[in-house]
Amino acid sequence: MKKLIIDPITRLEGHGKISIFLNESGEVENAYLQIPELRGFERFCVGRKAEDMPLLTSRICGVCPVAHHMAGTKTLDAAFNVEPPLAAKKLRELMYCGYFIYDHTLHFYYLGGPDFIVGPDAPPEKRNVLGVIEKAGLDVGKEVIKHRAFGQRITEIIGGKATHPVCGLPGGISKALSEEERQEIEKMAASSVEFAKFSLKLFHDIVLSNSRYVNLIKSDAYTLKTYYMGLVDKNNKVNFYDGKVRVVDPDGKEFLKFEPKDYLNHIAEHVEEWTYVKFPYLKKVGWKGFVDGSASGAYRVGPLGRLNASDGMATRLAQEEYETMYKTLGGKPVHSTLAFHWARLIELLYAAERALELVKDPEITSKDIRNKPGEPGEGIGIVEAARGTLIHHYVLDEDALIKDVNLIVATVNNAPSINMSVRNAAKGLIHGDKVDQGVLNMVEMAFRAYDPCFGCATHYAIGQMPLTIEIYNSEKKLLRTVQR
Amino acid sequence: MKVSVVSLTCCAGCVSSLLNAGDALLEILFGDFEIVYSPTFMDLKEVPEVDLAIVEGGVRTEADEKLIREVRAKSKTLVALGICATHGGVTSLGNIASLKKLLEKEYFILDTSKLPELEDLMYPICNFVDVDYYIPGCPPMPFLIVHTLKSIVSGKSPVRHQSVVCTECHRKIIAAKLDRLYGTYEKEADPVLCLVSQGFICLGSMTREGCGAPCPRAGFTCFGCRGPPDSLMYRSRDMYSFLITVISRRTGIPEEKIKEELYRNPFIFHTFIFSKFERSKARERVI
Repeated sequence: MKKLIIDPITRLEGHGKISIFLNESGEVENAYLQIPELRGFERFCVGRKAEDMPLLTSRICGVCPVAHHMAGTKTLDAAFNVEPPLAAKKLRELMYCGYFIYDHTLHFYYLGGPDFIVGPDAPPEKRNVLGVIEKAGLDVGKEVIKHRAFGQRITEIIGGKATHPVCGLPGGISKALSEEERQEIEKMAASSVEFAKFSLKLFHDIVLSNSRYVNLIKSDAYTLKTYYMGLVDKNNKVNFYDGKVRVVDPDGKEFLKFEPKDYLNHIAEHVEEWTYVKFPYLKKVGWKGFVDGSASGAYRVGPLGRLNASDGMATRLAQEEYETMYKTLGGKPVHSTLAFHWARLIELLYAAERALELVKDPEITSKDIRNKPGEPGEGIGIVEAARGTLIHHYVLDEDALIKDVNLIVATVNNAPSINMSVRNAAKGLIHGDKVDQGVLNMVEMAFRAYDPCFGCATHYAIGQMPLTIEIYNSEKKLLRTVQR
Repeated sequence: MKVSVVSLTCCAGCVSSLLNAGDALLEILFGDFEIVYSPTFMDLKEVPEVDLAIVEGGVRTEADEKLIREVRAKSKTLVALGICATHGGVTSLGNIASLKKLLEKEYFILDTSKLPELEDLMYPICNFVDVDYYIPGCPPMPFLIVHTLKSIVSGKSPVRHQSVVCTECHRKIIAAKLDRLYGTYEKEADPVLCLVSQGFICLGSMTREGCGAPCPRAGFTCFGCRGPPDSLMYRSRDMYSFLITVISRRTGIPEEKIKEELYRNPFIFHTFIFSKFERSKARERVI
């Protein structure tokens, strides 16, 4: 058997490598995405003060710290049995929209987008944000950097710091919003709506008007029929900050809808011996290995997962684009992995529209932002991170110190599907061991669509090495090494 | 100037912070900087020879160790960006347990023989290679990174920040008369008074300045992410005694009682620096 390894896979948060196994005739037998790292957050948080958890867990990921900070804060609300005032909830959600604006912008223009805008098999030295700027123009580049910074600035105003914010307290938030700050955010939110519309137009012009890309999106190599999961509000519309968890089956019918506190009744985790990442599945369906379809408990989260699991978007423009996407790609649910990119831009638009709505709310500058916490106990908090459903679960002792921690992060929810997508793409695209870098990059595109964060996945991140493709014979003896 | 941006074991937050520099970032990118290697954002996979290497993250895996040695050998100047690279960071908290215990908690059935090797502990990079400049912080603020990089590009020594966060904090220190310490969740913070004077355990008095005190400004206690200031970088200085004295003076609570409280949460001060750190090498190089 021959074995190809892509290591490190690039343009993602965290470190992983792809091993591709070929059979005697040079066809792909199997492919694995391996996450070879570990940090141990669930262990070293034990014994710490519960109030530190939103600060500690935000350090799991520097790209989505706001998600962990918010999940931690909501978990403390539950653990101290306190409901925050409405104004505090709105402030938290506004900050959260700022986070989605910067995170989705980051992914589309810096990480995943270059594959489409510059081209999947373009020279590797061009396939990055600078290549995007070259292709789309310097003015576009400036807008990208500006609006990503706007998202960060919104987070910073409310959260005190842009990366690893400091504002979440059980029962509320540490600081009210001043009128001056409110006006600054309003300007940035309004500008972000325009930027999101522009980004969608760019996607339509460059990707959707190119039949090669549309065929790629619809091709079998990038299709996976799974369950989908996401938080929804009371009208079953997508919500990032709060709500019930809804799951739809591969035909798009509602399969489950549950309160965050009941997650353990519905989700279990499977461990494989070759990776530090765990594989969650729906308990009711069961773990059937790395297969898709309604008999397999694998589910997908993240932009496409949320859109598939909901009945629509709660803001006008995003809802219009939501309808366009399903019309163009043949109805709900959409199973194409590359459609994650489109869904992500629809969410960018929603986040900007929602931020504008919230910042115009007269209650947003209210000083009533904290309620008194009750006695410490056990708590579960769920938010939608940019990459999907994020679950924090803490048990506190009577001194409010942490006794136990369980975290199921977005990328982990997607881990079974990411593996399948990588395998399917490899099978569809690689024939024989004479593969060029463009083909290998197209295998990487299968995971990049998920915007995976392996920092989060192993509660740990990154360590990079040059890409090597190692080719083994059937006795697993190394024949030769190729540098990409 | 050719630049590489390298990530070891970390959360990518420091590079993220660099991206937050906005216009200053554009100035760098379209000015003197030519970023030739950055796996987070670019597809080039071979470590090149560079004038300046910016390294985030510490060493947890053998791959990290191999990479940092290669990066050092191929760079003229090396900057450790962020507290994971300089002091081990939050991952160094994993050093409280053996590797086996860490794995047991999360991966009880794992066969580790099929996985890449981990180091026994989390190390800052100075344990393996010489570091020219240390920029601690979790993450360092964008302006601090940009100022430092600009100085390096123009051949000047970067401005060092030697004192403590209190010097940058707007809050007023008073000698209060309190009967106990408080958790941040227990009561609302006064917006003007020093947080320690209100009974909260704020680490500003023993944490290096240079961040602008964003946390106390947002109503939160300092979490110590810039590590110790120059005065506390000597082995002879007992950080606990120092903190106990400061808290006692500002709250009026007897030292014995504060000691009891701090010892109940033994890692309170070590969230970011629970690793073997070679102080003597770093002394004049921390920004």
